[in-house]
Amino acid sequence: MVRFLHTADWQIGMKAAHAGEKAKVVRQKRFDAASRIVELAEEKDVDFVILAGDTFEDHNVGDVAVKRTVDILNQLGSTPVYVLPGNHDPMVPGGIWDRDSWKRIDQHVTLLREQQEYRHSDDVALYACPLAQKQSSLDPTARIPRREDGDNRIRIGVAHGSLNILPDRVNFPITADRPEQSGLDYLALGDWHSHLTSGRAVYPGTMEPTSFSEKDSGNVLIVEIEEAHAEPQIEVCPVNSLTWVGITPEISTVDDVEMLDRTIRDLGPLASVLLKISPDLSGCTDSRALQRLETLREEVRESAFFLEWIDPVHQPVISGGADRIPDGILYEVDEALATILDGRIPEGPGHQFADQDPEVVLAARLLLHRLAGGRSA
Amino acid sequence: MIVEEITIRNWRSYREPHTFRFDEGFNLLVGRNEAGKSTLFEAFTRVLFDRHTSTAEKIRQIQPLGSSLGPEATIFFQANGNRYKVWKRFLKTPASEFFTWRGDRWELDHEGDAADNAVREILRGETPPGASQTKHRGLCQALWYLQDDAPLPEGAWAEGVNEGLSGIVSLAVKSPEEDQILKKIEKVYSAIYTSKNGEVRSKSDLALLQKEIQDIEEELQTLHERARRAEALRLELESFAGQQQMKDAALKAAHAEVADLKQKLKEGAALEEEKNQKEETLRRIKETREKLAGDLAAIDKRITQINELKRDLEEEQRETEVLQADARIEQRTADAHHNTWKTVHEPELRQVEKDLGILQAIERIRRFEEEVARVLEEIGRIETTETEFRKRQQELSTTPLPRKKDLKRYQDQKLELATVNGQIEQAAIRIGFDLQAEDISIITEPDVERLTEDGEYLVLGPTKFTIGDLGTITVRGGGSSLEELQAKAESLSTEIASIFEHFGVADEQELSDLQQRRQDLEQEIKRLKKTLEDLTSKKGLDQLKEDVARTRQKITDERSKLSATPPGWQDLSGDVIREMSEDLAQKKEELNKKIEHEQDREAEARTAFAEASRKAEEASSHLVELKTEIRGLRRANDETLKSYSTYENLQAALAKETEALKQAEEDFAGLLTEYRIRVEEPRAQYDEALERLRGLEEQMQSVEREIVDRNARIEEAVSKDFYSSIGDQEALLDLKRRKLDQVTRQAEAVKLLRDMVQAFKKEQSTALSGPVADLMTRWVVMLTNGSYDSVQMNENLFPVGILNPQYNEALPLDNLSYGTREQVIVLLRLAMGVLLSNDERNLVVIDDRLVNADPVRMRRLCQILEEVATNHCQVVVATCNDTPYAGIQGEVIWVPGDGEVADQSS
Repeated sequence: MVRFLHTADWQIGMKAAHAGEKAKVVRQKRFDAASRIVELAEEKDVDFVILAGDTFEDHNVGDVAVKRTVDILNQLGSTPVYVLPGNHDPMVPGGIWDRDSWKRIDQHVTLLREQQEYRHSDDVALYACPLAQKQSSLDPTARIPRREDGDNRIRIGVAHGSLNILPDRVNFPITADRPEQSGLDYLALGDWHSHLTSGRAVYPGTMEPTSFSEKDSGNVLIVEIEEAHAEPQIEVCPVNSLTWVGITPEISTVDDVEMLDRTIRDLGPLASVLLKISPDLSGCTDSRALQRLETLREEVRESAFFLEWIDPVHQPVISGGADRIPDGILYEVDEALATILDGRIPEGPGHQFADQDPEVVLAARLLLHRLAGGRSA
Repeated sequence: MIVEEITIRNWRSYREPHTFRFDEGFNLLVGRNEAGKSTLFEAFTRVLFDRHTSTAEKIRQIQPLGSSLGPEATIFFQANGNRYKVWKRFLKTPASEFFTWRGDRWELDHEGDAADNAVREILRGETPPGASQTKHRGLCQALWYLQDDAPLPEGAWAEGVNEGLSGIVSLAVKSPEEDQILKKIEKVYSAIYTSKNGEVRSKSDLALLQKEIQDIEEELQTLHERARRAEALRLELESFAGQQQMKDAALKAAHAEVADLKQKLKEGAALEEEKNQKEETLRRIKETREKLAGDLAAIDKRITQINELKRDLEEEQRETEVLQADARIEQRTADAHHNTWKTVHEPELRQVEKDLGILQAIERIRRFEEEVARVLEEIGRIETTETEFRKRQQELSTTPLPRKKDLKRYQDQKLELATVNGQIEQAAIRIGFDLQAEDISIITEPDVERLTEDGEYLVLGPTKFTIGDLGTITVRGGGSSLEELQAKAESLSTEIASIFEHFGVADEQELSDLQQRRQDLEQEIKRLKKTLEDLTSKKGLDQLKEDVARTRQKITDERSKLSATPPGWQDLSGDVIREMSEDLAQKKEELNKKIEHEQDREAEARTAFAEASRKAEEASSHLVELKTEIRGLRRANDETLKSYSTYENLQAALAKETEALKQAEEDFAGLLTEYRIRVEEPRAQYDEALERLRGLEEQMQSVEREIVDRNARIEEAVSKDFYSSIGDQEALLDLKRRKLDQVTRQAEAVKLLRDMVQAFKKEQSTALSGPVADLMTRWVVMLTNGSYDSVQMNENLFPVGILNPQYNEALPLDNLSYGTREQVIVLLRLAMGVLLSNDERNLVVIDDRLVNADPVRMRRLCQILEEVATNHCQVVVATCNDTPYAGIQGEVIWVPGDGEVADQSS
């Protein structure tokens, strides 16, 4: 029986630019997650750890990040760690694996440099498929040899690429039935950032989410295989500290805003949540709803770890109430702006502005209403 | 807005309080120059528009001279249907108060800055911190045409007109809410754009964002550059790694090849030994054969040479004999010529020379004799002359002959004596006796000189005259001077006598003759001396005598040569001798030529002989050389043949060696083929392989160095953790760009909103500007009596031209005279005033702007002013001459000079 921890796509050193001002903290959190993985490995008393590619985000990741990763991996002490070069950190001259800071790694860590069999023990063999470039249309697992007659070892493939069941993924395509073709008991994959299982080919996903589009990330897998040909037992262990959530609510009424508020609160403590909210206001005619939404925005901005609020381009312009435009020139200006927004050419002095950018026209009209309502520009 | 009253104090010339009240129609402000009319208007503008706390230069200037008091003024005015009062004091404890009339009293609404703002708000001017410049006076700018104002540049006019017309608009609308929103729009606009040209302000959020983004982009560019450099280094490294792999494989192959070749060489060692031995044998046989062949060839060669030399020898001998014969012939020829000139011509020449010499000697003797005679003659002349010379000198030295100075001295004395005598005669007493009887004797004692036969006696001293028997007369004399003269005369006479005595003459004539004689002698001596000098200039007497002696000796010598003179020759005449000499000379010349000719021939023959002898000698030497060479060759052959006894033996030995060599070569050739295959080729390949191996090792080292270098540079490049920085900067850039999009859209929206507002405003304003133009046109026609009619205005209501109906041509306003332009501007302001005074009167101020109007124009202008003041506006005209305005109904306000308190009267 063999028990191992399968993780991948640590993406150490990733820029996290889309986390805005929290990018640095997001990067830092990944080291915390890596440390938790080490703790988990020890806790679960695994036989070895597989890091199936993209340990580092790029060859140019700073020395500090590399050293920290080495220190974390070195904490595993005697537990072997098998590190596979992925497409972000392929095996190339001058790459991350040639760095002086990586060379401090202890002997229990094996860099799977060659496409060959790595004998973990008499009963367990690993077939490494390291990548030597960033892009390719070739299947990196194609050269895993078939199980020979009489070979009763537990055979584990380690590869990094895109299972051909994944949509719109063409880099290092891997045939989904590779385990069956090559007689593998388990194919430890990396590259897809969400946890995904396809028979014996499994993605653990990234240990800490990297974007708003990932569905099931932030996990590592504890895999047990009793013997050759046995079904792998997989335990999904969350290790992430941050949650990335994207919401695109349709807001028409105050109730919609309240519902959004509840949805956000249901996410739990916002201090560890990265939120991306893109409200759809195309059907909104309720100025109170807009105001409530504005208030909610400010509340969330203060309490969330990170908030990206995407203002819709097409916002309604609601007249009346505090935004009443007084009669006179301004009224005529407002009429002219509305006419242009309608796609018509206004009469009078307004006609010379008929070809203005509609977004600018809308913004001008909103500004006018805002100023008329006593609000600041 | 109209003004009711102004009280002014401590303001320039107004030290005491002065109050001026204004009618709501026409007001004529009259005062002398410098009376303070413009000061009043200045007070209007300062109080209404300037901050009470202003300390600008223009404010300080309003302080009275020599005073530190604070200028202050109070203005009562009406606007928007209300009555207001504003009081301001500047500089010293500045203060400002704003009152509104409510009910029956004035209520203080504001103080300080609030009061300032309240006033400006009412007049709809801006509230900048600056002084009350024209452009900041808002509505009033259009209506007040003050003395300090230039006839506005167009931009400022447009602004003023806009302000004026926007005032119309705002009056028409009467909406504070709209006004407030418009102000907000303007405020938001001003925060982003400059008012001057609508450019984005450098300090606006938009501009700052753009700058920030630019900075971030630059930073990112630098970071990306670093990443690119690192990537480039990796690519290079990859290339070198590839090379390293290839070279590693090549090295392995090279090592294998070298080992294989080495093994082959080892196997071929024995074969090499055998080859060396056979090579040695072959070499020895070759050497022997070569030696034999060489000897034989040498002997054959020498034999050939000997035969050639023998032929040469024979020929050379023949030649030598010929040359020797030639030499002999030449010698004989030379001897013959020598004999000819020596034995025949030379003796003959001797004889001729001898004869010639005799003749020449005779001639010379004769010449010498002539010479001697000449010289003797010359000597004689010299001696004669010398004798004469000595004789004359003797005479001169021995005979006392007076010189000229002697004669002169005599003559002077004589003259002096005559003078003295004359004086004596004058000093003397002259006595003359006129006796009756002629025979009466007169005896003097001492004797006295009788001057004339008339009987006058010259008495020089005491003299006694005995006159016959008559008696005696004693005369005492002439006194002491006469005695002196007498003494002098005596002395002179004595000297003269001594002169005569000295030279032995009796009289002057003889003296003169002697002196002449002296002169003659001296001249003769001189002449003889000159002659002597001439004669002895070339040679002296002694020398001439020597010449004579020498010549005589020569004669003697010549004579001695004439021992063998043919008889009769000495007696020959000179001509004959000359003729004979010529003949002999000619003959001598001919003989000399012959001798010379023979000698030349002899020389030629001798030269030819020498040449022939030399050649014969050379040929003879060559013969010896040839013989020597032949002997040498023969000896060499003998020496060579010693080893072989005979020539035939040598030939036999050579044939034998040749055969042996052939055999040895065949053996060696066979071995050589195998040697080439098994040893030579592998050796060459081994050397090449070693060379390749070394080259590959060097290349490998070079590649490894490059790899080390690239690795180090990559380490260095990534050590600064620019990757994270790229992420941070990209995040920031993304944020900023989104913000920029937002801000840009907002800015464009602000601009769009503002532009639309302005466009709508302008439309409304333009709609209202027609009345202004109409009014202007009516008044211009009236003013110029139809010379001009319509005024052309641009979109800012600025007059730009005026139409001349006669020529139907629009003239630019600048083409008008200054006075007419001024009048047009005044009319424009009046028209504006009329337009703005639809709902309430507004104040139009014209400060002394019509001075250039002629009386006719002035009259018409007054009509217009009265019309405007009566029906529309409050008009205040300032002037120092009220006469032209006499016809206008209105208030006349006198402005006192020198701070007097004025007493106003209508």
